[in-house]
Amino acid sequence: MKIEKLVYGIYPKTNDLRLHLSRWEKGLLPDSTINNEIIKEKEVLYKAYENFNITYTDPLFNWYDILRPIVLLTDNMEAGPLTRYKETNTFYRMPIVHEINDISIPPENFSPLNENPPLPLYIEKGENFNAFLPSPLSFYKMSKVDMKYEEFQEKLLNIYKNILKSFKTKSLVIYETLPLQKDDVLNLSQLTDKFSVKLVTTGRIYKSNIQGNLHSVICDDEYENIEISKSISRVPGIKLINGYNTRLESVDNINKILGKIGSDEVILSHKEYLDFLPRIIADKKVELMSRVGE
Amino acid sequence: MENKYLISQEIGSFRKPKYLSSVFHKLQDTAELERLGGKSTLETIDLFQKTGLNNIGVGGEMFRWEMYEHQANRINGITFYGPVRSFDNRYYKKGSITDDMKRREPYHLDELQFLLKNNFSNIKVPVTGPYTMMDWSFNEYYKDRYETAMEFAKLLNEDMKELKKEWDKKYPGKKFEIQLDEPATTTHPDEMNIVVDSLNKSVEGIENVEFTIHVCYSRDYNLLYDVMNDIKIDGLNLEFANRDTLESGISDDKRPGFNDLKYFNERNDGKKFMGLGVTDVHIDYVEPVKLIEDRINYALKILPPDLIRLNPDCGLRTRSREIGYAKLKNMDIAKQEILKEIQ
Repeated sequence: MKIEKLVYGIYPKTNDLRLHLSRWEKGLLPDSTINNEIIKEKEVLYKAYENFNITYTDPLFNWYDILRPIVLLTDNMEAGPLTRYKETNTFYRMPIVHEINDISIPPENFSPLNENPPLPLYIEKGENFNAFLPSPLSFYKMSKVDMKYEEFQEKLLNIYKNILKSFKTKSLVIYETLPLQKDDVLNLSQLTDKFSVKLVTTGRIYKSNIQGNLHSVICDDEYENIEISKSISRVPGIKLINGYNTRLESVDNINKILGKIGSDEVILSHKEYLDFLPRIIADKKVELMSRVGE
Repeated sequence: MENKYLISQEIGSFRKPKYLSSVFHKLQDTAELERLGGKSTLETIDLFQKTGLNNIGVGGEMFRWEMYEHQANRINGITFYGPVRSFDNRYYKKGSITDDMKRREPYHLDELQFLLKNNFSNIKVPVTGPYTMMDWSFNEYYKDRYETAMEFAKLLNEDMKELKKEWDKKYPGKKFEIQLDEPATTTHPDEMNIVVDSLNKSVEGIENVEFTIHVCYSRDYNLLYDVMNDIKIDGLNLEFANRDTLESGISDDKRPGFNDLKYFNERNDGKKFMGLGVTDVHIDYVEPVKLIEDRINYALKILPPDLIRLNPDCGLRTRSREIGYAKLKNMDIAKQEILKEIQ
């Protein structure tokens, strides 16, 4: 069985980078310097991922939350009040969406932003690189927006297409951070025609939730989820690494679970992005993932 | 009259002076930190007294850095692997429970002893509640979240019994005030039974203490109102101003942040008081006296004045000391104006 291991979303920062960001926030470091520090740290991590043969997204060290840079580079959106992120002791700025037309800041270039470290959105590096974008459905539910979901989805996916065009990447991870409800419909057809999309879901999923020709639906470890993932995507995916607990998983157990999926190819990933863990534990979990299947 | 109606209080933390915040971590566990903590506590209490606050809390929590870390650091069985992000570039030390937990040392006894030594009695000691301690920890040891919260409750119960004993030495027979800080209370709607059981376990067997609960930035306070009569507490100190408008007026549409007081009143067994957050701790804008008066007057349409206390939404440590002072001062002026009418 071929096992692809995927690390996605915001990754915890090193102490050094936290200190640099603290100085930058106080105005003691210019935007260009913090940008260089962020790039340097991203490259160190990319190297580790490549050594571990891990598929990855940008670690998003310059994203203060998983929506904010998209909000700040899109016309007619603004970052609203601090709001609790799911049920955690973590907060994000709730997007206030007036309209969705276009992006006026090039996402691929260095560009300072207010209340967020500077762009570029990603640093592309290596064969195993994927772009990262939050699912329109979660984006919608986490925002203040006066627009029907279908309209929001169509317009936001157009923005996403423009962002992806600015980069060379053909593959991306879409993260559905909130659990899907039975009558939710996420239609990614606009993207899946041109890009290889891995969708990371949360909680129980239903076949009717997801539309589009997806490379993979990566889901929580439940029998029904895996069966749906197998039926609606080319490669089933499963989240077996816990991003909410410091306890390290057993590689043997993971191998056993993967063996029972009954597929020639599978994607192994983690529940929630790893920014909820101390850096040292996140590093250990990534190293542990690299040993799965050996 | 003033002692009974619209009692004003601080919620807990206040911005530390630079001479303390800049060396806090470097001087951890040294006599010098104790000295600086004491100095800044007295300065902060002096500032509070100038604003007219009835209850001075513990003088702005100058001996504590952060509500979770302070207690978790004093428990054996909790391991810290490193900081975890809360938002932007703000981090907190989130502990992992890796063994059976035992208190290594008291959480707040030294702070209380300092206040008693300086003869303060209008105090309220904030402690971090068991549900929040559980929710903000990684659990590698206990069976489930219920068991973990109950273990934290057991430890907190021991700690509060020691605080009470110390208080009784100085003020025998006088009621002691403890505020259980539980910001995580309503974050998991299906776990309200854990909130109730762990809070009740925390206060078990502790008599002649006024217990309150402080919750802020909840998405749904009704979850708390639904179970509050099952919790052995005397009152709730909550955040309201953050959810309110800055417009004047006492109609429902002008005071959306305070509308849920109606549901509180409906559910209340008639004995619990409400500490009203009348000033927002997340904005530098100093709410004018008239706006605070409107917020209080709106609440007075729903609740009797002896069931209303006044406080900021949360600890004011997010604001400068100057802005914190101005907000508290306006709260007191508004209170005095309304008291004249009540009298």
